[in-house]
Amino acid sequence: MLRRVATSLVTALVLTAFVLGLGSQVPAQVAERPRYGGTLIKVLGANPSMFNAAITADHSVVSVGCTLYNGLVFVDRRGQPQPELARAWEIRQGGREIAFQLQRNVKWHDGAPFTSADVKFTMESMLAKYHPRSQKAFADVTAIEIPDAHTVVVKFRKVFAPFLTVMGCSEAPILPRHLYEGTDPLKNPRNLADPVGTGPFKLAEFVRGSHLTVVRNPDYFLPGLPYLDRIVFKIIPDAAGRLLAFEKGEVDYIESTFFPKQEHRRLKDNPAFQWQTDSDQPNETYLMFNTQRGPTRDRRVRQALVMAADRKLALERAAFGLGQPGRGPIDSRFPWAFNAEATYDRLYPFDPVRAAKMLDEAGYPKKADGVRFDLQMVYMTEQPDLPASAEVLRSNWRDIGVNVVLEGVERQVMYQRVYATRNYDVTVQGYTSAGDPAAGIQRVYNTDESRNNWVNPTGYSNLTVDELFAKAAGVFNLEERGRAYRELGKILAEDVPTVVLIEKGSVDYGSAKFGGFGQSVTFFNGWDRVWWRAGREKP
Amino acid sequence: MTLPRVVLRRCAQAVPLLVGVVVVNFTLLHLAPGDPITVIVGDFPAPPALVQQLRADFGLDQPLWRQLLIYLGRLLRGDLGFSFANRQPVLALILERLPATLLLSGSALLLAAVFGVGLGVAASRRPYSWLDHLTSVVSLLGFSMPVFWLGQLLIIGVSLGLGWLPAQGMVSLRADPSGWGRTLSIAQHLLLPALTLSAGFLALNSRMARASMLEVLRQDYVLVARGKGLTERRVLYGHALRNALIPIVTVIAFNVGYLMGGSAFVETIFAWPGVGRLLYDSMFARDYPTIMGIFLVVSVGVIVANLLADLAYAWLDPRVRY
Repeated sequence: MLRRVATSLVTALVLTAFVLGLGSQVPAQVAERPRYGGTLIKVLGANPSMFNAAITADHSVVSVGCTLYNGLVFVDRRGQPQPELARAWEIRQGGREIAFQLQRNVKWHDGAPFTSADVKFTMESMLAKYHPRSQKAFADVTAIEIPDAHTVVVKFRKVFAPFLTVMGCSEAPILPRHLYEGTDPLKNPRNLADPVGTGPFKLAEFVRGSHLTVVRNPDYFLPGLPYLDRIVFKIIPDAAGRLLAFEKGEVDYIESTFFPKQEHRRLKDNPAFQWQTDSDQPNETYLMFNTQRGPTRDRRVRQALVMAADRKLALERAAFGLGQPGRGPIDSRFPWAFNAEATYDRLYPFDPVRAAKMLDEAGYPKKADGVRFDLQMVYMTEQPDLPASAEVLRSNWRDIGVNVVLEGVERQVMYQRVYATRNYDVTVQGYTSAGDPAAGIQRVYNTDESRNNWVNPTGYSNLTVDELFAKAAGVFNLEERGRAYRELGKILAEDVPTVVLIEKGSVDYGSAKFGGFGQSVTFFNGWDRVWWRAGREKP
Repeated sequence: MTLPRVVLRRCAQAVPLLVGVVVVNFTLLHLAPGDPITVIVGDFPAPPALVQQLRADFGLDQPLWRQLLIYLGRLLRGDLGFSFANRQPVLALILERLPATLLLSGSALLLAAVFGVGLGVAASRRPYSWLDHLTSVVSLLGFSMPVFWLGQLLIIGVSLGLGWLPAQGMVSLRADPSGWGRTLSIAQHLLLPALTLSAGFLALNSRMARASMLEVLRQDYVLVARGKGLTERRVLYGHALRNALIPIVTVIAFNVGYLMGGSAFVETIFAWPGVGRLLYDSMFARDYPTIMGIFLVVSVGVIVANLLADLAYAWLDPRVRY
């Protein structure tokens, strides 16, 4: 009797272990398949001021906008355009004409059909006129033709090579003609309430200062998408608060813009989280010299200062090792455009002794107090890597007798000091490449006396460089573009009006309860492809 | 003087004060560096045509004196202007956020008043005892700790560490509760920010209450009350506290203005969607109309609080007559 009981018990135990072991494998297999349902909570740093993402590059507006609208293309993780509202495209006449074939059976959220007229209208009335990022792409467009309801042909006076990559939702969302035609796009009431898009989600609720909710669009034109039932954007203005909310589980995703990089080392092995690096278009921290005043007018002085700048230390202290030290004037993450012969490491290897000698030779010997000259360094305190970079440079340059006066200021004051009045000697700034040197890097070096924000504030002007940039932007052939960039890279590496201090890496964090993060080159896009691991099998 | 006349006289006195607040703040704000248009268009070079149109739409292309006159004219009609950053009328924006701030500030004021006075009275009953020393230490900590630091500590300790309370926001967004569930969710979210905001004022009130009570307890009429055989409870709360409250009421009324200001930090740290947060966001966005509107509302709030304090004196002390 006892033996029978023991045998039964052992059998039961073995069977239980087998079932548990089998069960623990099943969720892992199921979790790899997208599932439907669930709510994802993301962070926004501020209220979106409106919903029309075709007339602004405001971060919050674009974040929400890319759930409500679509672009012609979806730019994937490799930076390559993939079909979205355009199912195919043809580049003709060496890039002077691009013909887009649009998806069929696409509806706006209000049920109206999406056609080529919507694309033409958005491009002409909003993107070309008002959008800070895509406006440049339309500068040389001569005509936008719509031979039928599903074809758009864009014609250019001159080729703009990155045109396709700026036709994603974050730079060129398409808005409904039937709701905007005949109105002022800046004042249309749809900018503030009841936005209508073709996107995977629709606006459900906006509680200003608290949160914004978008819900699944059941009529979305991409079959099977989106997976999530809703996305909630939680508005948290404080940087520490955002991280705390994420760690507490009140927020499921925090993008690199909001994630304090110094926390990566602490959180990266936490099984409750997942993370991805380089989920954003390449961004850089630039060291910029005012070439119109003071000692930094002299190229030899700039070269000496670059040689005395420890870019590796700046990467470690300011970017916590995420990314790499600046290698040359064009971000090396565009390998086809990068000049490997004219790198900072070759021309200006970190050598404070040699740098000091260069300053002596340039006519700036040390005075009795050990100081050669003073430099005013103005930077924005809002981005934590900028003050840290400034501190590293101050320390480096103090060692060669250059006294740096640090002036960390608020964003608005920085705009005034650096861009409007150029009342600075040196500045450190963060710029985005916007996915292509022609889109985001060219503006850093081009001659520009407009005194606008986020252009070239150094006063540097080299017509050869301007021509080479224009040439590189004006051809589609990557090899030809690369030749032009490499040539201007050599000039810029010698003149050093501006130096890439850090090629910044990015890291986005998400809850391990979700899958599908990071399928686009920017964190604005791809939310239709994110899923909740505990969801259901069918929509 | 009758009550309505007191109120009317105070309102008349408040008008030049409010005009002064508007003119000084308007001028200072516009003279500070910064441009609201750059915030609206985002971090990329904006087309000049867009910048010009936005400037014209928001009246920023006018000379400063004209902008001020236009603003004063609108104020007379009860129009606080249009928010650049939120594209909404300022009055509607403030009214939308005011309930959250009143809830937070009111809760903090209540905590600071009730517990502050309570601690002060308890300490005054046993001066130089361990309770008195403990109250002093707590008061010192509460008063000297910066509000934003205390808030962060509470989030890290209570919310993240112990997991007892939520870290951010006013209501749970995952559960989306309604009815009593929503009320409970709001109460849970309210506790930490209210505690944070009340800390400094609680400390101040407790010290004030202690000092005031000690002063009153030394008076002859208190000795007489004890001599008559009244219970200690009756002496304390029936005779002493009422007289000790007069300076405490002054301090509490004073608290109101600082609470509104302090709430900007606390609302930002806890992502509480109130007027304080709106002020913080508006400052970075250079949203002048919203900032001016909030200053005006806070000024009116302080004036009303002081009026109520004066009326409270008359109720507390029958000798006070206006």
